[in-house]
Amino acid sequence: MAVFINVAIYIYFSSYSILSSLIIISSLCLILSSLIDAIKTKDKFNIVNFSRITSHLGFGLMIFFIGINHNFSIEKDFNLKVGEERNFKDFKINFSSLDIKENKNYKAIVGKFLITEKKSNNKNILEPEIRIYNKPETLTYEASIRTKFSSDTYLTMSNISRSDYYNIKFQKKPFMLWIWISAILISMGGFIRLIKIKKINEI
Amino acid sequence: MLSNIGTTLVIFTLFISFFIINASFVDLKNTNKLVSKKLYKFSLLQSTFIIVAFFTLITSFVVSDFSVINVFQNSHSTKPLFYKIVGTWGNHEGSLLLWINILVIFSYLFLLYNKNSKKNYRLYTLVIQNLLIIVFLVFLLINSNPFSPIYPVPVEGLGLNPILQDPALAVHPPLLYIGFVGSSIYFSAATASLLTSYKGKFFAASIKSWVLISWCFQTLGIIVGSIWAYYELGWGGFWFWDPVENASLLPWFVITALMHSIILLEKRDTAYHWTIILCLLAFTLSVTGTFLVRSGILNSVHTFANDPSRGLYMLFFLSVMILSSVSIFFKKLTKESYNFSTYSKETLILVNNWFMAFFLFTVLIGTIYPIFSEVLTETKVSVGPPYYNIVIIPLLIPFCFDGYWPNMSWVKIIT
Repeated sequence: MAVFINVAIYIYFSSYSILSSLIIISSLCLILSSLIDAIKTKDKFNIVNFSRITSHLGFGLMIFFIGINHNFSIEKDFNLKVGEERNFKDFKINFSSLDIKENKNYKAIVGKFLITEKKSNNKNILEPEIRIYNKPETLTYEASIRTKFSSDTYLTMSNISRSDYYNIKFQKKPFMLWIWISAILISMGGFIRLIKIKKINEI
Repeated sequence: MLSNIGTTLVIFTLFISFFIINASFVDLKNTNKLVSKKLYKFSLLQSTFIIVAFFTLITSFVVSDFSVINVFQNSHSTKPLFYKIVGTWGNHEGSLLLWINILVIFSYLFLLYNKNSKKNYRLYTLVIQNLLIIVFLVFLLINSNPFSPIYPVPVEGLGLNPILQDPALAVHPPLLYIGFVGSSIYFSAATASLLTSYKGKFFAASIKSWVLISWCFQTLGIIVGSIWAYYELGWGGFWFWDPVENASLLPWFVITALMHSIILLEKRDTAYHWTIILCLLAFTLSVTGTFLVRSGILNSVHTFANDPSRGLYMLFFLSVMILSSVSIFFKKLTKESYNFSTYSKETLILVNNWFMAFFLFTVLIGTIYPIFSEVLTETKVSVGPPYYNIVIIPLLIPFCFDGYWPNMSWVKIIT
């Protein structure tokens, strides 16, 4: 199974890493251990057993997704001005426009970026902001994040003084959503266990 | 007006804490097996006063009472109501009051829900917990009073840090605090256990629920914080190894280890002293993390409330807490057998604890190394992700295999 998963990862990401392979194998072992635990446990729906299995499974999944995320994230750092386009191996980024929006307690410089994935021709519009707050006077950089089932597309922009150019940080991060879900699963296991607390104290 | 009400309520809470300690010692001399009803009443009163004090502070923020310096510094009349309310704990003083609220509420709940435990053990737990409450109340009144007035009264407030104007502020600090401060109750219980020799599975059963509660909330608090940093701070990842993030992770490693070691104590009546060490360490690291973050010793983009003047008080308290708990521990230390069979559930649970200890020391060294480096060599260094990746990832691989322990059998201790 570990070999199959590694081959699938190689095909999906078009790259391979020994470290990620080891992490994936070990996390799969933990996931399988939790599943064996679930099968072997006589009283599967007993809250104590269910909570333990949930947390351990969540931890295994979290390591699995972190392993993939850590090794297969794409990060690009570059400068761009309005109207320009940057081409990379799998995608291109177009800086379409720049707008100013007035809000109650801040003013925002909003950039509009068109991200095109070359393989699938999928298009995403990301709108990062630079906010200027007046109470108190502070500058903040708001990331624009497009969360999908299999990956997050993430973009921030910051101004370069005395220049029309903006510094762009672009990231493609696989399985971000699943890292959060598996981490929540870990704590859910604990919360499930809390249901049984009162009864334990009574014994 | 609200400033005076708040300060008065905090002072009342302080006096009640002294009454509780005194009444506990009086009750210890009483041969009756039940805890005096007076203590329940005092504890309830103490909780009521501190909760009302906290709501007084919330009211000050809601009505934009700028005669309170804390409201003036952290709020603004045009701010949405939601951020006025959650802004109450978005600063050092308000969050310290929230911290004390949790200390007091846990103290009362422990007294209320541990009626099956031995009387002197419960009373000593109450005494130690109230000593902690007193220390934090004194700190609040002397150094960090959220109700301090300001004259003349300003017309408008300075506003809340925009980074904090996020819905996550409503849940992240309270969740983390329940986790951090919740560990105080088993710190007190562990010390009381040493003092009263209330050991084994009875001790394990008495703290298990509290360990679980604090672990659940702390885990969720860390996750919410991590998601917040990803979306709001623009860090671009799930974990940044920032000193403030690390400070929250240190007690988490200990509490996770404790959740596992407590199974050994409850099921096999072993690893008592190790469990005690973890109980003491969990709260000590929670306070250490708070000290590092709030004293301004650690620089982080994540630090929203630091002031070096607080550091000295917290360092003194931390030193006293560590020295007194360690001295009690060594005074009461007795020989304990750990002769387990190699391939047993017991061994794998202990191995889990070794891994947790390793992760703890790795993160601790990475977090405090820049401080020592700056003091000793006057060179500023920052420890970043490469260090953690190199040290932690290789060990994470065998750690995952240790997760097989639930499928192993309990083996009798070899004598």
